[in-house]
Amino acid sequence: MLSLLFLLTTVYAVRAQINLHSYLEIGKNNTLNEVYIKNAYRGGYQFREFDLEAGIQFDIQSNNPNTLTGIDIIGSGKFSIKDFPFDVKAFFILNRFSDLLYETNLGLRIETKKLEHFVFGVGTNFKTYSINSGARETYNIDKANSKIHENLGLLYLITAYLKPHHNVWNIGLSCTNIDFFLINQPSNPVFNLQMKYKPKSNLSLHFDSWYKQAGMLNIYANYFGYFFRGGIICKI
Amino acid sequence: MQNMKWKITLAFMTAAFISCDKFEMRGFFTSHESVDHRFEQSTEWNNQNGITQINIPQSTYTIMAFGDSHVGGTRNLKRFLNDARDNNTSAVVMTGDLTTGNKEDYDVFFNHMPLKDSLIYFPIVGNHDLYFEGWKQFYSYLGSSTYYFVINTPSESDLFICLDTGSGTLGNKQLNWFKKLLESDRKNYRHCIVFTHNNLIRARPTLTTNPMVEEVHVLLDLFLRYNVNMVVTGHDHKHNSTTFGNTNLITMDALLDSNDRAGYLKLSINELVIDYRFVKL
Repeated sequence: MLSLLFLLTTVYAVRAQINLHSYLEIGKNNTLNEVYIKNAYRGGYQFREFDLEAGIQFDIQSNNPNTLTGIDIIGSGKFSIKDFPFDVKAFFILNRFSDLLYETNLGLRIETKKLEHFVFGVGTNFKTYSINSGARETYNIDKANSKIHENLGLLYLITAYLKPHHNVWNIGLSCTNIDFFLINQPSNPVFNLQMKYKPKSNLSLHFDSWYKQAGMLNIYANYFGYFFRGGIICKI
Repeated sequence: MQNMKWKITLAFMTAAFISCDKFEMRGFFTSHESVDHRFEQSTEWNNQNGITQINIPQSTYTIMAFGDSHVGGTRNLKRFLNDARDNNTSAVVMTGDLTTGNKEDYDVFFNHMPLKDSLIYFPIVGNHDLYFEGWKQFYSYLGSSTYYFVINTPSESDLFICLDTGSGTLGNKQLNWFKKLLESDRKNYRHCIVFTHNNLIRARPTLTTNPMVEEVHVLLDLFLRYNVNMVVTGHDHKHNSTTFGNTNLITMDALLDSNDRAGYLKLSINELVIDYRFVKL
């Protein structure tokens, strides 16, 4: 029995794959007087058609008194209806944007790479702003008034790539309101020019430049901010 | 066929960019002037005109506010101004989208405004006021869009802060000014109410824009840290109120003539509380 269990575990371990991802982010926006620097570490475990991914974000330089500023968990599965492949992703995000408050997001989205040069994603999220227990005590706040829920939001991601997905290098342009530790309102699209390079089959590098324009496509648009993100992804 | 598709696309885009008299499509991509520039001009205006202090002989008083009148039409604006006079309100705050941005509509709006000594009013710019280079009209007719005023009762003083979110962001300079004002002055006042155009929280399914999430984070932190009692906004055209921490976040109905639930906000302020009521026209 034990040897069967050992055999199964070994077979599963061979089929499973671990991804490690780290990136550094440098940017500036209207809420800051200086550039901010963030660093994130992500780990993913892929088994057959299923993926479990988690990440943590640290602020190296920002106006946020917290150092650990973000945690996220994504569970996803690969599915196909006829010849239409898609991923279903369920996620949870904790954004510790202040020493008094935090934001959580629960959501579900579907992504497809059916077309060789495109990624399309759509989904919904449930955003909650909360006041932490320390702040509730300090500012004498009733627990009933310590959370505020937003209406379900629309998530979207459209990326157009120059080369097919499997190419060694690629350049893509995205319009989205989704990021690892932050989800913007549907009316605030963010643009992202991304570059990818795969020097080895188990190693890839990426560099993204994100541009944020407040009120874009919606009201009287005004510059909001930008950031650059460079990272490395290893498959073990 | 391919050529025809391009022609149709081009015709559609040209029509969109020429736009109707309610929207200026150009504004969806870029602005005539930045929010930082408007803040600098507002500061200049404030320096020349000073801070308005209103002295009230009793401890209870009324403030009325409206937003999104989108003049052209003036039926509801007239009704609001009559109600303001009848209620003997201490001040009126106008939270943006007062006009469509067209000069003709600014002329109509300004011609309906009572003399300042008969009704004290405080206008703020909204995104529609800025289309068609509307900021030039706003500034010349109405002046600053970022400022504060104070109401003094015999025993206490209350602080009212007006912010420009017509571009969906406060901008770095205005946000720094707001932070410094709260840091240095909030403790000197009993109540603090913030007025601005853009609503911060998406309380219902809507296509209207809120400030970017990073800016919402900073604002929610400031409201809690400095005990901002109330934040009054418009933009979404449908009223909503919710309490977060010690702050009432209020969105008003639009005063727009064609709005079947048009209305305004009436604030009754006394020593202990700020009581609010949505008044339907």
